[in-house]
Amino acid sequence: LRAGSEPAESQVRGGVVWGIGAALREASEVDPRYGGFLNADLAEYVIPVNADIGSIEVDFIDKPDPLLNSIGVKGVGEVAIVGVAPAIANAIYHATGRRLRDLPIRLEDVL
Amino acid sequence: MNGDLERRVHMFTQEARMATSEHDAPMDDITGSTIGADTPQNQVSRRSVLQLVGGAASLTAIPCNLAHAVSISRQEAANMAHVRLIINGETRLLELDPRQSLLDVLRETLDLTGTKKGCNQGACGACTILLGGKRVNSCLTLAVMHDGAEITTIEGLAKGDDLHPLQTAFIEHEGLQCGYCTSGQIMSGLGCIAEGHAHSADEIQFWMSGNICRCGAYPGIVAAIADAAGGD
Repeated sequence: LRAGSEPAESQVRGGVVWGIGAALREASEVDPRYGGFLNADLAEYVIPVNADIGSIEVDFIDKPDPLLNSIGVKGVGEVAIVGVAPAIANAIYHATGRRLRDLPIRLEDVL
Repeated sequence: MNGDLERRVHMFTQEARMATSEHDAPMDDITGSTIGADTPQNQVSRRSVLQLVGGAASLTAIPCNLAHAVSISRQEAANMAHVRLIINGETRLLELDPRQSLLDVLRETLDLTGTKKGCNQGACGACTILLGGKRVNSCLTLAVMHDGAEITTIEGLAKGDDLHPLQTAFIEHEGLQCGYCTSGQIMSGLGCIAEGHAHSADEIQFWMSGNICRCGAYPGIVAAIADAAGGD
């Protein structure tokens, strides 16, 4: 995929959606008695839906990176997840004064 | 090889013995009356005889079970329902088990596998179809409830090689990555447009939130539906 191409942008948008899910929604609840997962289905493991996602703008620094490898290419996709949760946590800190360090951050954490 | 076979027969008969002794089956009466009371001397022989009889009994039990299964399926055949469905404009007369979901009828009986089974519990929207023009999760409704209904699935949208405008829009706006949710998203998008819920991005996002996309192609999905709604 070429940086700036539609599929590359699509990959990054997907990564941002995953980041939003990790920051605000997704958690596996474990039953402390037996160690089983309590929400192992799509109804109870809450992943982002369309209304959870605003508009996402994707831009690339469209330059080869010869330090990573000799042909100057990089992967795209999962790496886009990394910055999303910190950005959201910083925004929450900015808005509320609460410095939250556990994900997901849910409404009860800022009350 | 013989040792292995012996061990397997042994395990098999042990299982049969345990199963029958639990349920007080006739086999136990036979062995009980043949062998008599437990004494230290006859413990071993009792076990070996039980294994023998158990093996024989379980071998004869197999045809019995098969006969039982056949009688059940005859019973089921008597309960089959006759249903007429108009699927993608084609009338189909079907003989269905009343317990079959509409999704299973589409996928398993009619081989229309474009409609996907994601969660089978109405949480993901991958199985969305149009039923009488309205979008429904086909996993959550029984086919027998819809005698005479008109159903549109993803297979019914394209006219030969000419894709439906919403299908084209999904490709143009990258409304998908892996594509598993896409047939559901497109059918749901058609419903969303038909309901008049596609006037703004916010509105589309709200009314498309019953369809989950794990790849995170939501912005592309919204753009595709907005495009197709504007073009109509």
